Amino acid sequence: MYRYDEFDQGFVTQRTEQFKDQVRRRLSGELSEEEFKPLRLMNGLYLQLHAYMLRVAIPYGTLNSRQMQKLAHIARTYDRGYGHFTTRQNIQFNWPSLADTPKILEELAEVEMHAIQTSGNCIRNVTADHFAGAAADEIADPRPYAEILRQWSSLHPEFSFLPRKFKIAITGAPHDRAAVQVHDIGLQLTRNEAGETGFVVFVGGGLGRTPMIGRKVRDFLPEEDLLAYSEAILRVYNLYGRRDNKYKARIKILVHETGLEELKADIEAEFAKIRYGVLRLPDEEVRRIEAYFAPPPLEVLPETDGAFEARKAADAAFAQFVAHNLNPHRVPGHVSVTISMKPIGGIPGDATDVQMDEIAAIAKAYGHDEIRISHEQNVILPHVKLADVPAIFDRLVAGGMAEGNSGLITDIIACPGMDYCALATARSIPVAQRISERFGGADRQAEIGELKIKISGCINACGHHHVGHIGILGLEKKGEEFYQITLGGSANENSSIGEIIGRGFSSEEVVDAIETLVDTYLGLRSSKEETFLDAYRRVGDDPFKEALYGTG
Amino acid sequence: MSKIYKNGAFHEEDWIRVASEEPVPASGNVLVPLARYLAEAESLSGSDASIAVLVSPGDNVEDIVAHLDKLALVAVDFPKFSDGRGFSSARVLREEFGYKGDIRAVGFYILDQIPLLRRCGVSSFEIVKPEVLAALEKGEWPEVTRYLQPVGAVEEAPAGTRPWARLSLRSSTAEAAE
Repeated sequence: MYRYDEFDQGFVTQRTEQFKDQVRRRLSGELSEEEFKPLRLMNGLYLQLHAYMLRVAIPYGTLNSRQMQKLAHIARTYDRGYGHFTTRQNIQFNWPSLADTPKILEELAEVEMHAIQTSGNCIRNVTADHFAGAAADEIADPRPYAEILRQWSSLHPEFSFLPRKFKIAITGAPHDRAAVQVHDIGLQLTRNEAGETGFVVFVGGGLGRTPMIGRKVRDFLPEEDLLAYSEAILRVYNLYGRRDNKYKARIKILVHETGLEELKADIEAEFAKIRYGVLRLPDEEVRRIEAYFAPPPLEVLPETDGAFEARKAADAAFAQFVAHNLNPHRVPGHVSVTISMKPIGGIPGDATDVQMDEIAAIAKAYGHDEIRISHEQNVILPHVKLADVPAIFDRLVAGGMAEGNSGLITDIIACPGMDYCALATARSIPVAQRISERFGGADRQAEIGELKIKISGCINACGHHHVGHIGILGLEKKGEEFYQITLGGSANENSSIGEIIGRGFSSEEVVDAIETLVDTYLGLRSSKEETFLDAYRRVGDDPFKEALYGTG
Repeated sequence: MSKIYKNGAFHEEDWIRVASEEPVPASGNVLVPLARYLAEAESLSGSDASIAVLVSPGDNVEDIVAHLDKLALVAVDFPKFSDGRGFSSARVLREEFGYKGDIRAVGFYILDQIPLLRRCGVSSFEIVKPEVLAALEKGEWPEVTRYLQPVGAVEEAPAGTRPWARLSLRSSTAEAAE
């Protein structure tokens, strides 16, 4: 993984000092809350319902055991013993005090971490496929490019006061696990006919109040143009993006209102002016950064392992874990393991300090010291020997992290909702917990198969409900929470925005409604291989509507 | 008189802002909104007054490219600190159109934006906020001086092999010489 040199270390240390001074000026009254707000947000510090919340960046979701141990330490020392992994591969601490935040940032800087631009109207943490560098279907590791973008976007002098937040995601595999089409810029690594590396570029995807799928602006952007083209997009957005209404300020609205062709022409015109300037990436520098991400030396091993197979045959829980939580690895005899942060009835994405320490220890013992956070709020060990999976599983069982539910109905994405968030209109976490309990039986989950449920506690859609196969949006009417259901959303290479199925349900009714939908699916699927999404796309709304409302 | 911060020092200077309808004074320093300047460029260039253009958010600096050599300065307005369009306007003016004159930030920017504005090509600052004046007088300059973006507006030292990394050359001594 990327290692800071003296320059990077100095950068983060200086940034910490700068923020410390900003906190001092706020505490002394030199800065008003209105003026302090964009400054603290640019450093990931939110004011929530009950307390400050600090969001720490985990660039493209990659970290090592030392960094994970530091996060555990921070949870233990400055918070209430847990942290929350987010849908943008970051971690949030929910209870730090304002006065402690400079100290937390100093501790983070010791392990090459920070909270730079995890919030605010600037370029946010660049996210990537959580199986990057390991997946069997990968064209190239997207993380070197994510790292270059991370650097370029950090404290950018021109783009720190954008109309709104700006999110970039990149995937290196044709199967998109990074949801690139619902980002402000989505990049898909590709090769042209000459075998050169480049990117398919999407612009203007996003969720929130007005969900939109990104539009393709480039079929092939050469590797060396990555920064110049990104700068061109950002300049056009900074100058022309709407600032009169924060709900219409994302680049997706600019794309929509300007029209794709005109906006593309604006971007290309800007790009043409700067393309051959200082932002052009020299090949040797890309290769130098790439070398940081070189995979660990992995021995080619047999595709199967006797002890592994025996355990699978003897232990149903292990077999379930194997069936759902392993991802094919490039190197035979290896897999990527998903550690579920979705225990049945638990809070999606929450991890205790003890669990974080244990993940770090397991990664050190069996995983070449590499850890990933997925945007689905789980933890990944990217490089693991198949033969080590039983031992890892045993430790995960002891740590309460062994649920074999990756991609299943209980692997729910949920925003913090009204339990924490000042913007929320309804609770998300308790709904996720009740769904998880309802469907938590191992056989039932497996029978239902792949089904992504995503829950947001308000229209801002942090829980990505628009792209859930089943999406749940928590709203409020006359002081009562109610939940609107959407069907058919997806955030992979065939992205789609879910459609509202009908009137919403009360908190009491919503889990029954989900069960009705699931039972309807089970009754109409053509075979066990037809997933909920496939079935929905085949049959449409009607059977589900009929089952829920009986309206035909 | 307004306080101006330029090249590490303060001085007082006055620019009369004329709105769209007001008569333009025959002499002195006059700051004209971009749209009005374009409409009256010919008569204004005949005036004895020293003419500068005020670029507001939403204005396109490309429109004044043909007039840049006639302008005493270009002022970039920040009616709200959170509106960052002026950062791009200044940078485009300096880097894409090669404007060599003074680019002045005016309006309600905050202290923490000053170092960023400087890197975008802003070369002087009209200060209206007393706490900004107080901080600059104390020598405060809240900036991370290792940069991860090359800019063309200010001279900076390359750092290592990364072509986008730069080190600030701004120091108290360098500044005195500016």
